Amino acid sequence: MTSASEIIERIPSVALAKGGAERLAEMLREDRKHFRGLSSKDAEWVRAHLFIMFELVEVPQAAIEQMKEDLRTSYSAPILVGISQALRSINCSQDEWRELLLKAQARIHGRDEYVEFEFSNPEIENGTTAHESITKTLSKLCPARVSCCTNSDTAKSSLSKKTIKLKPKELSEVAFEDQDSGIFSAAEILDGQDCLVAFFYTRCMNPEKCSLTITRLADLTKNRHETIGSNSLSILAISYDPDYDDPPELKRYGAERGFSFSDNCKLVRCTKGWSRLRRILQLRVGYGSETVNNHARELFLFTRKHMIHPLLPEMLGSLENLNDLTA
Amino acid sequence: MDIENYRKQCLAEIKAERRKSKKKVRKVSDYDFSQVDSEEDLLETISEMSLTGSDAKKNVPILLDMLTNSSLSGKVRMGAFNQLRLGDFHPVEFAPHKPAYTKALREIAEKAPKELRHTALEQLALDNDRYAQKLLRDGLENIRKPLIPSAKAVQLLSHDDHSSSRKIMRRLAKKATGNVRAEALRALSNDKLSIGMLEGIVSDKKESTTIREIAAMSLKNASPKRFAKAASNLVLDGHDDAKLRATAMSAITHNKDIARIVGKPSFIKSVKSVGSGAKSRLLKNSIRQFQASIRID
Repeated sequence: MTSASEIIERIPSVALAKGGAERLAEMLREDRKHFRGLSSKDAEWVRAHLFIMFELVEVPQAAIEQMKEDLRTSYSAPILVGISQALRSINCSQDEWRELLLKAQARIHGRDEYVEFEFSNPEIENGTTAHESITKTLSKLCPARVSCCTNSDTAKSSLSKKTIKLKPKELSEVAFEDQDSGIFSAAEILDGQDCLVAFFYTRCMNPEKCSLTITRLADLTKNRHETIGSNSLSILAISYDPDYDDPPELKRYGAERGFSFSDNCKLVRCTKGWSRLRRILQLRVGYGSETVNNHARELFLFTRKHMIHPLLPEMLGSLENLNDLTA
Repeated sequence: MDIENYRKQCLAEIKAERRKSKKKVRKVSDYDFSQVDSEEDLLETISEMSLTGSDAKKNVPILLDMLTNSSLSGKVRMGAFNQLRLGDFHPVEFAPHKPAYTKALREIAEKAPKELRHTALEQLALDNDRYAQKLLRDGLENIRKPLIPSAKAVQLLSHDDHSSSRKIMRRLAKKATGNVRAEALRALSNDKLSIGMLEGIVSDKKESTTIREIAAMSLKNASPKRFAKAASNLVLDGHDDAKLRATAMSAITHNKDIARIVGKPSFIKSVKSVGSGAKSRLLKNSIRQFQASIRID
């Protein structure tokens, strides 16, 4: 297993090579091999160094989206320093970034630290806190509406992004166990059905990720008819941590968040075919030696037409958007 | 020890020494406390330094400076530390000082006298601090000289499921001795991959009673079903340690799910027979409690 410092040592040479910026963006993916076996904190530390490198190279769109998502959810001071410094190299407008930066600054209050990156490049500011770094970046945002990135926060654009066509019987080797120890194949609930699928795990330490996702799904389990005009949409939350999240854990976690369990609203763990499912959905989850070390927020819509649409996780926060999905 | 890691460690220590020599070391008189004639006076003054309101902005930097000031006695530095720890009770007001506090703790985690060092590492580990977790892991893996006793390091690392220390714990649970091994076994209480190893230790009469008890309790958390089997075998084994058998019996009695798994009529009958023949008062009492509990149910 490669240590965090050894991975970080390689980042500058990756960045400076041809196509380096895109490679750096790709390295941000939580499921990449270089994160395997690292602790959560070490995984965050490596990602912080990937972000800070964007201060020196151009920032591809994939990295922009990742920066926004981390600004929405991260409690890591190094990551927030990395992102806020990287943003200074982009001509970003206040409209797009101000609210995200202010929320991140409020979130890190009480958990902040001085960050000393392992790079000794003079262009990288060391020894600053996330609060200070964000304040400095806010002062440098463009007042005019100069958009550096397309606005992808619409249901339509998210529906068209990387849709996956489910092959026949692709899910036949995947099985789930739900919160009541009921065993069933993934195909029973996912193939040829409208099903909203989210991912989570009960040991997630970030309240903005798994806990909030399940809480929002819980609201949906009660209000499906009001919000999306249909009770036929199934709701499934699948654990990233099937070894630990057994039925009693799933039940407890869901109940604590008001999840209304039913035949088509379940929390499950994968008992067979977990690697296959991760491959089909290209899940963004990485593992340390005992549990998840980092993961994205992931939301999918499986449709009765055997299509899988990746959705923006923020859509769970605006339930009326879901009306478009089953139209 | 890995040569490359050792080289990096030496370089880091040289850098830290250079930084330290540039820092001006303050004496007690430099802190401008009035009416401080003795160490006791100073400790009393420290204990009255508020961390809230308008005083916090003045007091916290002074306390942090005292904490990291190697010219002060360990007692005074510990006094400053204890005062700063009260910041946990005022998280909102203390929040702006948290980065400087963390920085100070990281500094003393490697260099300070034992009590300060241990307490700093403990505080950092409870905050799941990355820097502290690495120091503790490196100590356990002999990459660097351990900063605290290994048993304590295991205990601190086990606070965080995400610290990626599980492999170290498994190795120590198999190979270490004494308290280190005991703590490693405790740390594996929710490790599904250790179930087989824990079962093996529970049933191995060559292991000490203490170690077997700890392994049993961890097995109970990791797999109640397999613990039920191991515990029921222990209870009925007339050649095994009476204290351990009593502990197993109590664990069955006080856990309804486990009692349900083992509580078949044949088991109950066998336990009755064990109870009537047992010489150990501890075992007899635990069996009586089990029998009373099934009568109530």
